[in-house]
Amino acid sequence: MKALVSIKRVVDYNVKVRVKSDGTGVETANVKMSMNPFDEIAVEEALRLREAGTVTEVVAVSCGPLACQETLRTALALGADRAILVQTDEELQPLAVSKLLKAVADKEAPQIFIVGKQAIDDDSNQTGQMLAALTGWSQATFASKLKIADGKAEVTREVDGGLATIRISLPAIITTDLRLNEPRYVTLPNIMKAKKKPLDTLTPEALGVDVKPRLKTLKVVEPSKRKAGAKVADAAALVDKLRNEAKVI
Amino acid sequence: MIRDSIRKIAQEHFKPGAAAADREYRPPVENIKVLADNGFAGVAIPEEYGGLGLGVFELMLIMEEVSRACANTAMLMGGTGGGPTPRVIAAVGTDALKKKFLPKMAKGELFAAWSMSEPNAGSDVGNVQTKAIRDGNEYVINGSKMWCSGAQLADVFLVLVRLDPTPGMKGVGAIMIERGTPGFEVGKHLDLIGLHATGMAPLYFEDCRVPAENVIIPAGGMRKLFEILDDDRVVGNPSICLGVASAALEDALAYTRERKQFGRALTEFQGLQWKLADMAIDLEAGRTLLYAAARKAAAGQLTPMDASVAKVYVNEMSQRVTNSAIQVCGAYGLSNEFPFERYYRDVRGFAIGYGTTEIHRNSIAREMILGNYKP
Amino acid sequence: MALLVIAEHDGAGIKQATLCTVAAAAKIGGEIHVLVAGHNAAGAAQAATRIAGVSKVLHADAPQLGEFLAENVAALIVGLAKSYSHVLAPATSNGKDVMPRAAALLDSQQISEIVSVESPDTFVRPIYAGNALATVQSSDAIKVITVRTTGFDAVSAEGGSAVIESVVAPADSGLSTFVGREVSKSERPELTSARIVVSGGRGMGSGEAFKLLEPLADKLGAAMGASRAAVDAGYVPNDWQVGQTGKIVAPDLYIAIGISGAIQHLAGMKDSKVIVAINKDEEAPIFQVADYGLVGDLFQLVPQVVEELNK
Repeated sequence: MKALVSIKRVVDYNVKVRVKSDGTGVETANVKMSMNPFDEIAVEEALRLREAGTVTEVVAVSCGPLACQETLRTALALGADRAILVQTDEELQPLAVSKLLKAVADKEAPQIFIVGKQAIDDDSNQTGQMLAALTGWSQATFASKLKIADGKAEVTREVDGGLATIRISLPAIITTDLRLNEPRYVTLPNIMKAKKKPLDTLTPEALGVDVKPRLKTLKVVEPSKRKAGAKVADAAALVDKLRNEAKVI
Repeated sequence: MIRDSIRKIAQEHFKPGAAAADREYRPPVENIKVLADNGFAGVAIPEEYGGLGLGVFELMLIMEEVSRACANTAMLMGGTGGGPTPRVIAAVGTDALKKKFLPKMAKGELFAAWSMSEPNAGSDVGNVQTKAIRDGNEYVINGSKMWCSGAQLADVFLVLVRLDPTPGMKGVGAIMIERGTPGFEVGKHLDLIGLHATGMAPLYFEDCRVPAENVIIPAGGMRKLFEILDDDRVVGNPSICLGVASAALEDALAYTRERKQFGRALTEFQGLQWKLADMAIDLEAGRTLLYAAARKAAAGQLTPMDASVAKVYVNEMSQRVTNSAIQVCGAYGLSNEFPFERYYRDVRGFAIGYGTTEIHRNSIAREMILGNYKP
Repeated sequence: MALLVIAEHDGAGIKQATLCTVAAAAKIGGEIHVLVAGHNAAGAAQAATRIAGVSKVLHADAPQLGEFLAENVAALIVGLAKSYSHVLAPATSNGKDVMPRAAALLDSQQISEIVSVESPDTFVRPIYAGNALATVQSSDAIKVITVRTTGFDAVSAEGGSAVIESVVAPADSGLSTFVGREVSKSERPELTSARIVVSGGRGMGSGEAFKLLEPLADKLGAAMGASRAAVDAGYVPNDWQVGQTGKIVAPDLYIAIGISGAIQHLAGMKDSKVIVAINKDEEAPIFQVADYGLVGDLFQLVPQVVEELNK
């Protein structure tokens, strides 16, 4: 069984983003870029499936500019067997990405396609579900537990109010939530090995996908800052303020 | 990617316990296992012996990042496949010695220490007095060694000894001695200003008998060792200073951004801004020097002058930067609830170890006078 | 122009999130229809008819809609969407699960988690965990939208008089079956819709210590939440998590206890009307967003606050 994982190159989790002064977006020049954390979880889950013998090959896919090669190398260093870059400098929105991934899925015919539940830059939370729609496959979003047996996947999902478990047919799209697993580190020997693993490049044109953006970003601004209030002396003063000043209790 | 990976491991695993290791004088050996599990134990060991055969530059980056999180761990790392002992074995050891030690070191299962200094011979290697006298197929060793980092943990020691009565450097060589060899004893922990958790101790030898095949550098062969040590002057000692100084500036910057005095964040005071800028200038100058030296070393073009210039500058830079970090953090900088005083203590010894900064100035001057340097 | 709102409901009644989504739809303008999809959810459909501003309720009742499986519900929405300019759902786990699937089938680029409506095709949504707000304009014929419910004040659940129209659900996709649900049992209000939230962080030190917060939450009728640090430490279940990757809340009163205020946590609660912080570290970043800060040992202060409330 083959597993595909999709990977997005995003501004590193630890970077405090700054909105550009001209309001066209956030500053990404000279900013540290990394693999989207939810995608790391996706790679880890695929690797664990391979280590358990369920999956025989793990292929990492990324869509975006040439620099995404670096992120794919990280996936290879984590242990993915090979990588595919769909290279384009066009701004990619989730619908376009899911069309590209669908085209890759058609070529690769995986039984399972694991996707991070959302990217920490645009916070859209769409790609996995859209990919499931376009492939016509089943979907299990926000997975916190995944078991594959007898041609089905049993997935526990993190939902409002608790957990829900569903059983879905394969091939399937899984989107990862935080607690699905804890990703391993990139080990030094694997960094060396990753250099020799295959990384193929495709283009949207070759895949026959129109990636033109549908949403136009008119402006990006910083949210209004909350001002610090005052310290109160003790519990009595706090309750008094809440009752008589803020009037919330 | 190497830097990203080791930084993540070091920040998540080594940094949280760094203060406790220092306070409790407890070598963080568990960190060596983490390094080994992630393939960072065998960095400099050749591939045929289970290592990765990485170059000096990568090694320096790894040491820098480990030190940024925990300097004691970086010191211990010198006892694994990244340290001088395995590099010496790999460079000049017999096949038997290589097979015996290197694969285990690459896995982090065998911890090595090396020992040069003696009570009366620090940077003055020609004055080594610990004697090894041939007796049939064995050498009999008598004498003592000081300031051996990692001694309390090491399974095997590379020890500089006088193999030949010829005075000066010509009589000095090196021999491998395993822990538990009768007549060999590791002394009590030596408490220095910083680096409290490296298991540093003296070594004592009394009629300690070691097989002759354990001689790794015969008398008079020290030139080879010094070539490796020159690389180590780049990889080991100053890369730790660079890592600690980076951590000091990083933490000081975070602190001064948060800390408010007179109703303003400390970073809003121009006097403090200039101090922080000076720290960054100093740090980056040191980084540039050291990286350039490491690249030359990787290309086999490192001159003794390059190594000395980088070592002296980075040693002294780290003292200045960690000192300034304390100053900008005020009383909290002095408190052992913050890491600044530890940074300051931890870097101090590096200007003395691996040749004092004065000895290195001597060799810089010698190269200049000999005409080996054009300004 | 008509807009379709996908209702979040429990079979018997309509959830607050639906009312906020109707409010967003009202801002866009046009006739508002609500889709109640489910099994044996006539009660919810009836309740939906009373929502202020709603003119029609589409009621799809079928066993395969019972657990709101994405494949089946998306197919239903796609069948209905052609008559609408906008399809909106609250950004609940159901909404987030189903809507992108429907959007892709409609070849529409969804606009996720809007917090404000600028015009019928232009919306504001947070990006980078709320560290920036993007104004985006859609060129798609049918706009598929999820609504961050904290961005919109709920419309009244009463006062409307919509008609109910039954719609036929597409057949079961056969791709997915529901196995079970593990509901975190709680007598308390739901975290995302509670008027008051009491949250604990790593400073609580243990799961046991969270018991200390119960009398306070009881007294205030508050929901209980936690920071990611507390969840990761295993003190409390993961659905308590408030923050960038957990629940986004904006209650009238948010009480953060033993929470330092990591940016990821602030992203989940900084729109609360009043924020109270109790923490022993007076430098903790949480105090920079708190309206009222109390510095000291939470194990002493929390019981004192309860005592004051009882006076």
